[in-house]
Amino acid sequence: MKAKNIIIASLLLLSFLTACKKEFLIEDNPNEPTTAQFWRNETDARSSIVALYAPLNFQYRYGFFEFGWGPENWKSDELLYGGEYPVFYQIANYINTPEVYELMEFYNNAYQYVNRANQSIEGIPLCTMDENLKAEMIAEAKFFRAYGYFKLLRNFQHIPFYERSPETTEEIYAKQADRAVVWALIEADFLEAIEKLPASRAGAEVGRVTKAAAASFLGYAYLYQQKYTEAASVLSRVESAEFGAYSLLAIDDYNQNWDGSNENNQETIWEIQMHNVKSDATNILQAEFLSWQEANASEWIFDRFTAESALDGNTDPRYFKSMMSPDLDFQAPLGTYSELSSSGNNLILKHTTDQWVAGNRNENNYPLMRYADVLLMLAEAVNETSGADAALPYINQVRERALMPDLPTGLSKEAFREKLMNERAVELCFESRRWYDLVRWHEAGWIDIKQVLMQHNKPGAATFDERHLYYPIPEIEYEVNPNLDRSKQW
Amino acid sequence: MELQQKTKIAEPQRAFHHQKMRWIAVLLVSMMTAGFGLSADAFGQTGGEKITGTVIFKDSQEPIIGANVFIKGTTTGTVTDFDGNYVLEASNGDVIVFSFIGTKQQEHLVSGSATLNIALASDDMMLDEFVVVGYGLQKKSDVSGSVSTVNMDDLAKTKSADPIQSLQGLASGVTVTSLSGEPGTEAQINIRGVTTLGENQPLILIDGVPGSLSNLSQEEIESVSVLKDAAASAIYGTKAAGGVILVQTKRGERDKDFKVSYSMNYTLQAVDHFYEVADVAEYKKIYAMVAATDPSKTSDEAIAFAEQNGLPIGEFNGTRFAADDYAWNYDRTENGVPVYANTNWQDEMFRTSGAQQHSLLITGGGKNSNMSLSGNYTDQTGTLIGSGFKKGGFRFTSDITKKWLKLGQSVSYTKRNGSYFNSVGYGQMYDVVSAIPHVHVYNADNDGGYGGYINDMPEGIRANPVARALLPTADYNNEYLTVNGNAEITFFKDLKYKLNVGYQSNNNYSFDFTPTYYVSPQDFRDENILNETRTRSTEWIAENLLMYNKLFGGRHQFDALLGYSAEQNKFRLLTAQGEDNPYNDLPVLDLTTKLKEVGSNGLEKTMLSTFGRINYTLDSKYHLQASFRRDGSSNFGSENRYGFFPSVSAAWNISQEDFFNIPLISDLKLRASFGQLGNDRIPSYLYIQAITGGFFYVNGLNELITGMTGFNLANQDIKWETTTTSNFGIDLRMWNDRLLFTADYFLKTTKDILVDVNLPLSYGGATSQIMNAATVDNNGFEFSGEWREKIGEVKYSIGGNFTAYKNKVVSLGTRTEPIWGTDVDWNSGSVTRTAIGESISEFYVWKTAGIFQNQAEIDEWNKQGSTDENGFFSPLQPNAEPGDMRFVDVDGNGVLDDKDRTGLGSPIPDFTYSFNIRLDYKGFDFYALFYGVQGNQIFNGLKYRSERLDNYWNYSADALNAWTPTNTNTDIPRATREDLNGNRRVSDRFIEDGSYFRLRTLQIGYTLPTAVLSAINIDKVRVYVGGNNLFTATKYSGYDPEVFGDNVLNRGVDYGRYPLFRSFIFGLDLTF
Repeated sequence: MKAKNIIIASLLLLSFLTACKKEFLIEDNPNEPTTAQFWRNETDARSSIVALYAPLNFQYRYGFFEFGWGPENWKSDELLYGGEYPVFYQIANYINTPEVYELMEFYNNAYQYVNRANQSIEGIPLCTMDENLKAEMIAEAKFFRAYGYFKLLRNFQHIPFYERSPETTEEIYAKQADRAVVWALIEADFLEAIEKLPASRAGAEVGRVTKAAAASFLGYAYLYQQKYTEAASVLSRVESAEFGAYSLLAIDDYNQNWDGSNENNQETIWEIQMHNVKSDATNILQAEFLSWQEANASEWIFDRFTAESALDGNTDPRYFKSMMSPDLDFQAPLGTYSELSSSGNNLILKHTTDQWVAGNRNENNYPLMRYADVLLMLAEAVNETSGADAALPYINQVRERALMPDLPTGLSKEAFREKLMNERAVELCFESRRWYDLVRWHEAGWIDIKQVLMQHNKPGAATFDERHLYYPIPEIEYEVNPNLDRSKQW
Repeated sequence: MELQQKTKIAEPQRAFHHQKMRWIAVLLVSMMTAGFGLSADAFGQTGGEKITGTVIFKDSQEPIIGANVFIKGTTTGTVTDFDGNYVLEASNGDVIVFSFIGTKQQEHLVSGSATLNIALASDDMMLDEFVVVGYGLQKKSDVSGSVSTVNMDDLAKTKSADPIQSLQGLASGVTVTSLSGEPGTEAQINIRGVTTLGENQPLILIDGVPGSLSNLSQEEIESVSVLKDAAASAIYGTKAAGGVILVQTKRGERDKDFKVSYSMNYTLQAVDHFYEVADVAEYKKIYAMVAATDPSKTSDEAIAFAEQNGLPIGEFNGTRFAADDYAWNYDRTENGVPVYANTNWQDEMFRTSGAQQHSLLITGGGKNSNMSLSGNYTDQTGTLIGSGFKKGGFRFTSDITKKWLKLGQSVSYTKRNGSYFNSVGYGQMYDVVSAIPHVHVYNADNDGGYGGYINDMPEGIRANPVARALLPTADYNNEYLTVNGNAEITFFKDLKYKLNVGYQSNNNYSFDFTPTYYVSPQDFRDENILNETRTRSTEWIAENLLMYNKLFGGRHQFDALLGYSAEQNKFRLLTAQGEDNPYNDLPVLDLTTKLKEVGSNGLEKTMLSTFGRINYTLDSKYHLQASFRRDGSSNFGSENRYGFFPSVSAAWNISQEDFFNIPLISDLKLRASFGQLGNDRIPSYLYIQAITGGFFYVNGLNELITGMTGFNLANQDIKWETTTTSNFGIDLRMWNDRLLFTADYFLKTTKDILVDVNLPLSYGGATSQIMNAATVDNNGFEFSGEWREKIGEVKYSIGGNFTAYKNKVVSLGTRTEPIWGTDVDWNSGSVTRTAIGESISEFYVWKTAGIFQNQAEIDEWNKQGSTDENGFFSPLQPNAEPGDMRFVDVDGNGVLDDKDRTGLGSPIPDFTYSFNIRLDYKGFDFYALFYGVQGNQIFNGLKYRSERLDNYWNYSADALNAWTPTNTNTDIPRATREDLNGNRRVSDRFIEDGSYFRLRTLQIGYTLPTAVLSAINIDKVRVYVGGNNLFTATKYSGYDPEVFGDNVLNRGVDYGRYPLFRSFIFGLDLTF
């Protein structure tokens, strides 16, 4: 019978199918490269670097305001919350719980830089590409890791720490680290960035971080730790144009720092690049400040602008570019106070443009580090290390641009601090600086933050206590991560 | 084998089963011959008289080959030869039993005569005795697992465009729920409960190959078996946790003249009732109630402004307000023409729609071959405007037999196309009930031609739902091709090899186009938008089967199966979109000028499986079965690539025992089974760490650039979900097989259900990961029974089935938070949650306690408030006013908040049931199927939407009965524009009893007498009238109580979906 042949044939068929078993079952994801497939060459390295920048603009229309700008500014005394959204009100009044969704997003956003940077730091060395460029890109990733951690340390007291991309479950559920350990990594990463990053960027590269950006942020980080000598040293390297020349815009062009008309200008050290290519790639600060008027300028900050006259006897010209009060109405490009508001609250003008774009969107870049800030930080550090007179040239550069009279020589260190604190408040208002300045000056023992808030009539100041210097680690983290210490939530 | 070649096999009565019958007959003949050969050797034959005779079919008078001829109480016997003849030695006083599949057994006493010629009558019940099981057929009496078969006559009578819908109520343990009444929507099938948080649909195999039941026509289906427990379905391993439905299609018969059957029916469809909403006059009252609470209309400024400008001033219960012209002067005319309409939107939207179905089936065969060719066409118009669906297809099957080789093939092609009903928002019907009647349906002046905003109508007034339905085009087109082939080789009598190969390809194309239009300042489109999407999925499967069966020693029946299979699925999606094409009437992407976007992605999946099964039967009394399947799937990482799914089962036919002597009971069988099943329907590639693209930023040239990073965290441990099932069953036949009864009790536990579990936010990538974590229990009970009898010319039967199960979430793994369902309406919050210890998708909303009638009641109620550390007292409902809802402070902490939501019922019914009545008298036949669901709750989203009374939309007629100081005896709270008390919040107000009882199918047919037909050379003509969903008894106030919700986590939430309809059917079946 032929059955025998058939048996042989079918056994062959079976064994054939069995033979191809191994390869047959393994299907690669046809939509995304695996980690092993990625990290081939410069293209992949570059692509991972773009992803580092992506969280800066929140990829999401409202996110930039709600999870980005808001948590960095609500608590400061320059701001008055004018909306009806309970959570923002709670944050602004120091009564938020650890369950606030917006703060979870804010926290997660900071860790996105850390996660992506760690991937790039580990992955780029695997790419086949020019070795110098490779080192430069690794340094760029390290800049972002430091930037992310610096943001976390400014906002949270005891943060889970990842030195590298987690590989095991245990590493995903990271433990909280000593702040000193994180500071050390931040400093080392910024230092490497200063060394390896290019001094300038041109063409399509504009907007990427440079030596000066790393040096400025390192200086800021030193100030935060009251390491004034180190701060003065690194910031003076920026001021001395070692990393390229930066200068202040003329007062008439002061607005160009935010209004999109002259992005990445001579005063810019680093700014978030915005573009209304996609409707969700843009910031919505203009709509928030002028349409919905959720965030308003406080009376105290208005008083700072009017406390001192400019050389010509008029109001500090920065006022007209920064805010608008019913007590000092004027014709702004978008209208007068009475045309723009009926609530009686002071409006914020900074970060707005001179026109309305369809859909309440604006597409202007947001400064993360300006040369004016570098000068003021340098002044602050030098005052501490070498005294007020040595610091004068730096603060006066900022004042001169604003047509304000120079500060006199012979100020005491303490008197200079007062002047400097005032100058930072006015020059850098609504730029995510004021709250962190208050915290670090409080930690340096220069001020009592609660007293300041109360004197400045900050709503909720009465219930402020020490733990509100930082946000709590989000409650959900405790539900998920068994390695967190409950006593270190705030 | 030789037998097959030589023999002309006689025809049993019912063509449906013929093909299988033959297979079994041949099998049995060979088994019996072998078996009795042995037994004769072993025991010899009693030395009695030689009895001879012929066994024939009573109806056709043709000889039966392979009929069993036994001496009762012994193993002595023989089978009839090819001419139906037998020879048997027996003694006087012996009882000889004659039996053959599909016939009624006969017993005859040997008393002298040497010849016994027997004519066996057909027995419908006996024909049902063979059931299709995984990879084969099994005698029902041998089945030890839980298998339901669907009565094909019943299925044929419920004429739905989709055969899945027709399965409702036809098998115990099988729950079929329509998702909506929209033509072309597939219904949901659940077998024995909700076992997972994801895909619960059973595995559907058509002729052994995974396929689409919706793409078949009912007339093509020969049999449907539902495998419910692990013993029956474990042979399908990691795909079978949702149960398995085996569908066989009709094939031709060998040695049979071609038979041509044509069926057609015409259906009229209409919704049962409209949802009652206010007309313009009633709207004025509702409007007044709302406006009187609206500060922007009642303020002094507003009234002064209205007075100065000659605008209408309204008054309600002593409160004056500035009224809108459209609401107050709704019957105003200008130049004799009414300014405002009084549109009944439901009249505009709904229609009595028609549907027609045609099917043609040609079957027949030659000496060694058979074929069938069928075609079908369905054209169904939707009961809502702008929707409809067409389906057409053909199927060709053929089989040939040559010596030891059998080859079979089938090719089928189905094309469907249709148009979706267009709506916006959460519920398809929400806009229809909320649209104000004042708006004209049409307005030639508007771009697009539809009416809308008139004069000063305020913002937020609902749009024109007719425009919504008809302006955009949402067409889909699907082409489905299957090619299956099989080859069977018989090596020896007992050993066969079978190769099964199946291929299918499914191509979808959808076309969505919204032209420019203008309806109102809030509803317009300046730029048209076009989206085209193509998907293509292909799937092939190859199975190698070795089958062995043998009867040893006349008593020990062994069946064994060993199989090996491989399969692969591929899927690809391509989308393209563009906006602003200057030509509305030339909707092509080439002409679009803006926002052109394209995208594609794909999916691939492979599987390799080994499986086997052994059945052992001793003396037809004791049955044992063990099976296993080992599946390797590309969906899982190397650690978990292979899953092993075993099962065992046993059955005991007590009635076969000698000691069993209850004449009333003709058959009694006890069954028990245990086994494991898997569910591999999880997203692919979860175990591969991938780098994700699409993270964009802006470069220095102001261009958008995108980057890539590892975002999702791969889960190396991902694996299938495992369901462990125990089943205990009983099969009973009584009163000479007139009563049939089957009952089953089952315990099902599904472990490792995929749940999205949160990751630390500090991970910095995805904030959750899919893990195998949850456990769900489903324990239940089901039975089915039937009584059939023939009294004179009247044949009747009454059957029914019953299914009850309890569902409980045992664990969600490390996840402690419940899983919430989606909102029922914009900003409503979810109404269902899935939490440990509760059933999946339990309703979880606020609890009400009536309406505050006066301030005293409010003050009393508010004493429940709380006092803070500063001694400051907060009342429970500080904003309450007379007419507002009382909400219960469930947690008793004096604060009414989110934590006071509580479990208020389950969407899972206590039980579902159905029963049917069949009646045949002369040429007339009658069939009625009743179906009921008891003890479930529904969240009525339509009611939530249409009793809000906080805006100027239209509302349900019930809302007219809202609380006012003069209308206090009501359960609907007052109208309030601001709703500070939160009357609107999702509460038990909107949870309703979802029980219903319905006449699912009714059909009355008449078959013309043969005498009339033979003159015109036609075999059979049957005409019928009937209908589906003709009558429904329910307390539910929405359109229809058959509510599924949009997925398993939102079960029982009525989003106001496209309502089911009632249909009247006229049809004709013709065979020649």
